[in-house]
Amino acid sequence: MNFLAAALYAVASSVLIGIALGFQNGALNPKAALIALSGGLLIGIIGWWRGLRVPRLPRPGVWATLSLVLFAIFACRAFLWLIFREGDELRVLSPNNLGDMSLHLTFIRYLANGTPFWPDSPIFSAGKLTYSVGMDFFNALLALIGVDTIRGLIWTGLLGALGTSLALHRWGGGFTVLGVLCNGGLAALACFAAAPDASIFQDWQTDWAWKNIALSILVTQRGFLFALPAGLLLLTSWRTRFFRDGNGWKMPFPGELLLYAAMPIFHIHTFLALSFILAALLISRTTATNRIATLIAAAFIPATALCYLTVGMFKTNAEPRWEDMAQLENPPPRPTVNAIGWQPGWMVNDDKTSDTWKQCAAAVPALSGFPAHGKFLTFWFGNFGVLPLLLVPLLVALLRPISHPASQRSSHLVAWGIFVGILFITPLLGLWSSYQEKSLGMLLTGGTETLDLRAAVVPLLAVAALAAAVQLRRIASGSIALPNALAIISGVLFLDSALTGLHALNPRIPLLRANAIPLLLVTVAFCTYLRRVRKSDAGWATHFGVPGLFLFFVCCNVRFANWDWDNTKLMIWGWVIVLAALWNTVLARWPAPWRALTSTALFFSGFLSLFGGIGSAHHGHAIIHLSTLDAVSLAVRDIPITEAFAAQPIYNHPLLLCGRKVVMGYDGHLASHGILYGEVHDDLDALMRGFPDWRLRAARLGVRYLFFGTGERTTWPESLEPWRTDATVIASGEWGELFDLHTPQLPAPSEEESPTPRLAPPRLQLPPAR
Amino acid sequence: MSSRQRLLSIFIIALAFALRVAALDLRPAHFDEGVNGSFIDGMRADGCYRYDPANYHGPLHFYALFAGQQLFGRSLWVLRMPTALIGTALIALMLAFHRFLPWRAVWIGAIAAAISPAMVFYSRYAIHEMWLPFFTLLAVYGGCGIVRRAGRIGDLWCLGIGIAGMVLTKETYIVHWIAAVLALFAMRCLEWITPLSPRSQRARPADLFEGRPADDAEPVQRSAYFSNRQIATVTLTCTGAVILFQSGFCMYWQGISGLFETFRLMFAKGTTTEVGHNKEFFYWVKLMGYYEWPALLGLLAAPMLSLRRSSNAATVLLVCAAGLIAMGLFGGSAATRTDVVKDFLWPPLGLGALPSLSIWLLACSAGFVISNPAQSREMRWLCLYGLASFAAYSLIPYKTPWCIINVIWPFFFVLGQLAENLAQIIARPLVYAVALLLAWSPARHCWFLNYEQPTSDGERYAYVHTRPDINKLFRALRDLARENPIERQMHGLILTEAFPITWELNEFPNIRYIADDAEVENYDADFVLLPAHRRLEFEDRAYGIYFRESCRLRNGLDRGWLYLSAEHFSSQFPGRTPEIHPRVPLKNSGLPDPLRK
Repeated sequence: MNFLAAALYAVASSVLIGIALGFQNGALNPKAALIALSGGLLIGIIGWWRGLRVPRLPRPGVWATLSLVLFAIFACRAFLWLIFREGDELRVLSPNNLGDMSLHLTFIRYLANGTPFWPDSPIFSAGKLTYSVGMDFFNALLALIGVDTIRGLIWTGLLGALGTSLALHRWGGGFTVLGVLCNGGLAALACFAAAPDASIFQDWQTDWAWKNIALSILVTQRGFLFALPAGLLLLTSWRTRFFRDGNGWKMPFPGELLLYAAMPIFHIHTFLALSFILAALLISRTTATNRIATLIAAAFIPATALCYLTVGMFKTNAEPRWEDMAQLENPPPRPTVNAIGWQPGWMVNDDKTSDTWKQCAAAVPALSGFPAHGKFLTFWFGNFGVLPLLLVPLLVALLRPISHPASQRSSHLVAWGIFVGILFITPLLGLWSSYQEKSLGMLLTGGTETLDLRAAVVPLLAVAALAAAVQLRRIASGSIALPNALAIISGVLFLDSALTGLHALNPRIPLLRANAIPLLLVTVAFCTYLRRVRKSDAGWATHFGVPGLFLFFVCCNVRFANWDWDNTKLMIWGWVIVLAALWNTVLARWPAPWRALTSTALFFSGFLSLFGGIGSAHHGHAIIHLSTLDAVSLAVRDIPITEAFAAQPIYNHPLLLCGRKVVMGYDGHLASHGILYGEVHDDLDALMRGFPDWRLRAARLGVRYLFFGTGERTTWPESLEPWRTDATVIASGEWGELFDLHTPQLPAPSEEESPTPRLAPPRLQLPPAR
Repeated sequence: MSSRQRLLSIFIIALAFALRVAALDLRPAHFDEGVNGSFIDGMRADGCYRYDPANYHGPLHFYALFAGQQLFGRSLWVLRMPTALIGTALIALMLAFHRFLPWRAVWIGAIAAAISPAMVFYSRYAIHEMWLPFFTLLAVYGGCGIVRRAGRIGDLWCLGIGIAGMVLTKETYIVHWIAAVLALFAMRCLEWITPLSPRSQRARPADLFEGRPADDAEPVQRSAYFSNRQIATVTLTCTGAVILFQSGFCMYWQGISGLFETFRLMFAKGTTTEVGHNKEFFYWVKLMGYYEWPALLGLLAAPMLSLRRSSNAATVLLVCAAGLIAMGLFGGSAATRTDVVKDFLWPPLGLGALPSLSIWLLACSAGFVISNPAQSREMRWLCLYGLASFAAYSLIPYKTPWCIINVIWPFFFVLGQLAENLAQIIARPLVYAVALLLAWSPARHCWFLNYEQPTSDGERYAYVHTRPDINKLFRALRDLARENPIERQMHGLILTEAFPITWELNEFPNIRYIADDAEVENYDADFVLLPAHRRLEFEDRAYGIYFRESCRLRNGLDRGWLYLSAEHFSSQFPGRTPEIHPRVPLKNSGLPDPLRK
């Protein structure tokens, strides 16, 4: 474990030193890369040496060993075949990786090509690089000192996976390792309906929202190769430091600081999750307040700086165009990243859930009368299997230390009652369009848009509820449930009134939506938990598990990325925390057959999907032809790295894979990074179609070079290609042509005229033959 | 282990490593290395190694090569490094035998193995062979530890991993298993016939052929057994590993049944007469006589150190040998007309093999007469095991020179024991002087074979090896591709043996491989490699201007010709005038037709 921590220090330090040198020199270069990697190595060695005094850790048991072996098999298959050459093609094993690997290759080569710091985005030249680029930065450093890019990707992948498995085991044992490797619900039940000759080893979860984590995240998201082991080591270290009086494995404080503060550049979602857990611990664990506060304070400035870089220095999007010269005095601000949004139910309305429900309803017509409940149950049980059922005993176990002694006896019954109630009510709320679309005030006042009525009624209701709560508390001092409920209702109503009033003043302030009430109530409950747990002697499982569950619930309501599926990057942290707590507080106390049964029910679908995802049916998916890549690399070799190209917006464009900047890359990537690309897309489209104002469009896009190849011909078949006559071809081949739009083509001399003297293009001077 | 012993161990391991790794890419890839390389190229698309029972080689080596190639890239260094490391590990493992044998016996044996021409040559060779002695030795190491009842769980793991590794390496493991069991059985029988005197009564040996136990032998704990759980854990893990590898990590389940199917095919192949690889009974002795003197000495000493003086056993063997000789002579005279038996030691099976076997029996009979067995059980077993596996490998007619490394390693221990015993009765410097003299021949051969003439026709270990001529093509292509990656798209035409070229030039996707007698429609290529008999055909039909180079691909093949297009390769041959120009048919009707006479 000490060695793993040291390796992570080395990677984090290398990247941080590299960034600093990049800013100092203006760009990365081989010398800076060597210094950065040497510095990182030195820090890693120091960290390893300092950690030698840590006592030897217990060896894993049989089941943990088996889970680690399974992880090793997966890692070897997924990362040794991560990206490979087959004939003239560069291929990736996983279809999930087609776009992601192309993007990583783009970033690595772009950084290694010596782009000025902080770089413009290679996939959106009008904005700054907006991505947690840490692992790609590390690979770029390796590439700069001569390590082959493909080998670098494979090595970092394998070592990252190895680190992840060890860190998972140290955090939550074999159960958590399996939980990440074989997560899944009941999706694999589809194998019973599959063709008789079809293999049961298929990625059954590929179309579901909660995909196999190992296949969909660990293989594709390079940032997780650092973030998962580092984050898990931090959690393990915090658990030891704050709950076990330092008995067990823990990192030294500088190590924790380094990994935590460097996290934004590697994975911003992980940084958010860790910060949330840390904040919860700061409040709930009074004995550790000083140490946690010290860590947060020490990490604040570097982490903020790295967050600032990760969000592209708030220059993610293009500068807005002026409508007229009147905006000279007050220019419009640059749009911010479009990342956070409101999305209750997460992906409950996705196509796969609907299709599956339709099939179920068709098979059992009696069910067709309950579509809302059917879809709801299909989504949650299809994605998570029996886990929702296990959450009930888990919550009871976690909250037992802070619950009232009198209520502990009936807690299971109450919890199951609430659970069944939620299962019954939530789908109905989903059907209620007013609940989904309107604010709470509008809902309570019958959907009226009149502000006066709402302004009068809702505060009155709030005051009434508050008064009732106070009176009840006076009359029946032993009863706490009803007064508390009334107080909460009163608070919600006051909040709605306040937001309504503020909204009237500034329309950018949102109203309190009716479907935000569950989140609001759960947040209140969480705050209550934080207040109570401070005085209790609850163990680590409660202190980590409850915030983990809350984090997961928040992710089911709030979108932390433009693409709703990207919430998985945050949910995975709730998942690994909850799994460890579940094993520790519930499953470990069950008899062995029950544990086996539960584990089988939880992981069988993921197991089949995992082996299906890495099975022999996969022979690789081509990213690009190497001949094309080589030829385009040669063609653009002498063009400055700062120049942007106009080209087809596709993930595997040869220019991108050469590490060149294009006006606009794959729209899927742009959207998922929160980039607003509409205007740029329109300009690019007009330019490539060859509209009469194409020169103006090119100037607006800041483009000097235009690439026109097979892909461009397919995308814009009707293009007039005016640059053929008005610009110069500077390179051409089977891959297409590259035009310099700033250099008009010289007229060809006619046969009668004497040839116009012109400068010959620079040519390579061959040595004279001896 | 004392610090002096530790230093000596480090020196021996360093020597072994240096000999195995230095200039690893000096000789080009062998045909078989090319085949292995092509298998691992196939694994990229298949996702696993699809075990072929007719290939007689397990999957482990392929996975090791694949991992190496994916992690470190494609080069001869990477391809050969796994076996070089395993070859070095084998020496380290030999040194670990000081637990069971006298230190002097161990280090002398390890040095002999470290400089053995075969051990070094085949450690620098990306074929399966080196894995088998390593795993065999690992299993023996674990077995010795278990027999001693030291109670170390590591011994159980060594045995399990060794056995699993053997299964995953090469199907000839069955020969070693049988030899090991026979040796154990023979040792028990011999102990039963003539029990050894108790160890405590013979503290120091006083005879040449009398071993003694290890210097720092652990006290034998009769109560140190393994629990059923430990045995089950090791057994299940090793069996699971075998199943995983054989089944291509659950992607090719037929590989499991192939594990058994292979023996039928192997028996058929091993007993049929094949012109290419079938060799005489005493082939190994001849090889040892030429290259491996220390092992030969060990072979000669092995019966003395293992057998007991027993006139009855000697008589029985003598009678058997006489009977076999009589049958052989009779069979030989009867088969004279069919020219089956020309040589007394030839062919290996059938009637002709009987006299060869009889000579072996005669030698063993003599061993029963003059033997004075080693005091160490481990040494006696090693001697018997070495003799048994040597006999088995000699009996099998299908012989390739690299198999010798499976035969000779026990005899290095025997040699060490011999030196140990000698050192007890004569002056040590004299023993070391003799050892140095004995080491001279293998060291010299090791140097010439590995660094001076690694592909020479005269060297028997360099079996049909690819010659450095092939680098004329590889170097030219790689230099061009390094300067300009687009040159990887060059078109090539290979009309000779495809291996190892397919692996070496895998990065060049536009190469056509055509059988040397197949019709070629179009000779338009940037480089062409063809056999000599197609030279005129090509030069008549050449489209471009070419440099021509003579090229002999490997021993056993005729010289061929390499043509490199001047358009691409002129920078490789500065100042040289291309030899081949296209012979354009005359189109001018006014001129006489040169074909018309």
